[in-house]
Amino acid sequence: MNPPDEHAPRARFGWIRPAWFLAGLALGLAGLAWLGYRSSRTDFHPGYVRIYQAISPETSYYPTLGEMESIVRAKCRPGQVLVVVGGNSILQGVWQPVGEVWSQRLQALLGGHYCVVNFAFRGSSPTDGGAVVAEALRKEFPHQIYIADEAPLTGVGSWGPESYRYVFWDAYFGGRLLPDAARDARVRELEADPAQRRALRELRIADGFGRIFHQDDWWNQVCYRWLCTIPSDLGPAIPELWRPRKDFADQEPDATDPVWLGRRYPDNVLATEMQIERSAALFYHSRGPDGRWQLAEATRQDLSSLFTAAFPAPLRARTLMLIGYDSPYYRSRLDADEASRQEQAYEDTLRLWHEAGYPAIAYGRNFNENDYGDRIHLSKLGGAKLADAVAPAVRQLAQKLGYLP
Amino acid sequence: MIFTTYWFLLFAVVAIVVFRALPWAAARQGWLALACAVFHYHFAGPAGVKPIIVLMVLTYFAGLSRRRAACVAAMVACVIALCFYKYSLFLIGSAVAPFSAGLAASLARLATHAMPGAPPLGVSFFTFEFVHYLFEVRRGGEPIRNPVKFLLFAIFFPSLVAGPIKRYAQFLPSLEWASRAPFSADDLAQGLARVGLGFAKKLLIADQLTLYIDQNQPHFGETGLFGRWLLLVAIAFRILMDFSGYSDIAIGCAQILGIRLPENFAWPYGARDLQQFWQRWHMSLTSWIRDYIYIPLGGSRRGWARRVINGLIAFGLCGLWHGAARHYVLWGVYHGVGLGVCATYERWPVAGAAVSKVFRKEPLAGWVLTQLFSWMGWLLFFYPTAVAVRMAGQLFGVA
Repeated sequence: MNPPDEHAPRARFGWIRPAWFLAGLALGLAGLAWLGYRSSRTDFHPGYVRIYQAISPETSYYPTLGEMESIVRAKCRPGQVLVVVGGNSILQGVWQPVGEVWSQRLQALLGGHYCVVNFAFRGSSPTDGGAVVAEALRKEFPHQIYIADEAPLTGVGSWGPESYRYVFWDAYFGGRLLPDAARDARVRELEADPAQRRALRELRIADGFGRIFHQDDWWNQVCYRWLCTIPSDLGPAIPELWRPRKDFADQEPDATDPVWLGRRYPDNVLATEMQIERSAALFYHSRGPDGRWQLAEATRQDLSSLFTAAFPAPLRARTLMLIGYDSPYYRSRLDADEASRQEQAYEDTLRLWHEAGYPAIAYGRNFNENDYGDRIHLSKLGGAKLADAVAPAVRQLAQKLGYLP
Repeated sequence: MIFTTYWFLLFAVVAIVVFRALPWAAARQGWLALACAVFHYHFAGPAGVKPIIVLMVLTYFAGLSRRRAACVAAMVACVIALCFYKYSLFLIGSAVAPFSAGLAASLARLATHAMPGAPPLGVSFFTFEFVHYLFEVRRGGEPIRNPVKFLLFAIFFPSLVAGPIKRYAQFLPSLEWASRAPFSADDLAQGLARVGLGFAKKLLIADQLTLYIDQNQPHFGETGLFGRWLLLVAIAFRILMDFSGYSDIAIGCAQILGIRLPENFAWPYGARDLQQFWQRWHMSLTSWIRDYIYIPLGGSRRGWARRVINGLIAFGLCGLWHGAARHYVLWGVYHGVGLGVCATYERWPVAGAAVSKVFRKEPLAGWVLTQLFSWMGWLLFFYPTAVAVRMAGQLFGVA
């Protein structure tokens, strides 16, 4: 059988020799897969401190699970107690210049038996980013403590905002997480929506390709070391945009610098910030027989079930939750009634976390205005105080869990 | 972009491997039809598939009847569906709102309520291919009797989203051949190379240019003259690389299956006059407009004045096909005027002969003028008219 005329080979690629081309393609793909695999097991962030701007989703750089695991493997020894810092911008150390980040001080205070790695993402939930890395590494680093933060009376879902959830999906579809009925139920809930189901299917397939080709690991390494084609607004214009991310240093400003000092509490955001400051107090409407403010039973139950579902049961005891007080600049503007309700909120939040099986502490109650860079973020001074408060809690937890004598 | 999803990658691998592995023509066609239906449903969703099924059934039976009235009625239905899904809000805003804002708001509410969230996937391409089919059958062409083959003509997955616009008389023999042909390493290698070229154009060039354009366009007025012209070049190459990259992927995927799709681009930025440009740019659309709008209107058979008017109508509609906004129409009319001038300037007294002589002696002048004209046209295509006109002025130093 002969093909019709229009099936004559096209001139454009008529020069291609199929056998050589296909062999080259197969070899090329295998080579890329090997490079990707190597990337996923190579720490290419020497002197890693935290997920700073140039290597964060805010600049379209998505550190992969493999990349973060490699950082841990390069920094820590299996015999050490792995202390993974997760959570949001507060624990990432916004307003704390590199070298004076609170987690660096925590490492110094804890000493060589511990290895502290900061994987907090701006705007992330306690259950994303670092939480996923720690859980995925639970077998390699069985002695681990995970630290995250949350505002008082704030619910925590099984996962956090969309932009940071990619790490979770990577681990979830890759079978790297503990079996957990609550998480599976949330996934099924999502899949009930056709648009979400399609998005999840795409993620699942991407993860399957990722396990073979490690394409994201390879591309991140190329982007970090040599040439970054991932769009961002780090540089003023092309070709700045293509500069490798390693050329962009961690330039987190120092809140105690005189340049920033006067801008910490701008008047134009005072009203909005005070609204947020009052939000925890708004949960309380009545006092109980003992004269204390009472949290509605429905709210208590909601929060309790959210806290319980946030982490699988075996991980709760090693998860240290930090509940931070805001800057006294704002707290001092609450009236006595609001302040007492807010105080009750902290007390109740700690109790609820404890009841759900998590160690939890509050920090910042006695911090001063200079310990903050804005309403919630700590300056390097506040960061140092936070490390001072957290270090004994970590030691105590390590002893309780039997990691160290 | 559908072609850059992992789902598509996996789908294409499975669809192609199984198609090639099946030994019988009927089984191959059946499998391909099933795969195309899955592809369409996955990306269009139930709301996007329903109207296309209705149009498909209508077109199939109208074609089968071979009755002139049935074919015309089905063509009208296809065009009405396209207007409804793609242009109703634009038409309400343009034709009703100036006279009655209240009525326009009510109509817009009604239309929005009746429509899915977005126009059905590929509705413009479906309409053009169905109209072509019905037109040809009405003209005496043989209808597609086999419903599986008709389904494949309608929803062949590589060309479903962004063309090329197929002709059934070319597609069916190609499908027949591919359904019976043994495995061809040539087709596989050349198809993969074409797909690779398409991805490279799209991801390595077009997407990077998009980044450059998005960054620099807002500062167009503050940039120096060189920067402004550089941006125009970036805009011109971005659309070429984006669109021709997409076509390359579609044509390459089809070739791996053993099926030939029509070419869509042939170095349009090498054209030395505007007619040549349109013979090289989005060729499957241009030939469709020529065959089903321009020639039925009378083409160039009724004197130069009618030729110009027909060109203006055809290209105005071509502009509108690209999107429901005034600046698209204006872009089409702009090219219609350009083609009108191009087709008639030699007849102009005195100047016509002189200009013609220049272009004959200096082909480069024709190339420069053609590209300048078409590249400036992209400003109208991409930006609201006022912004495009301002940018065009700024290219020549006019504030």
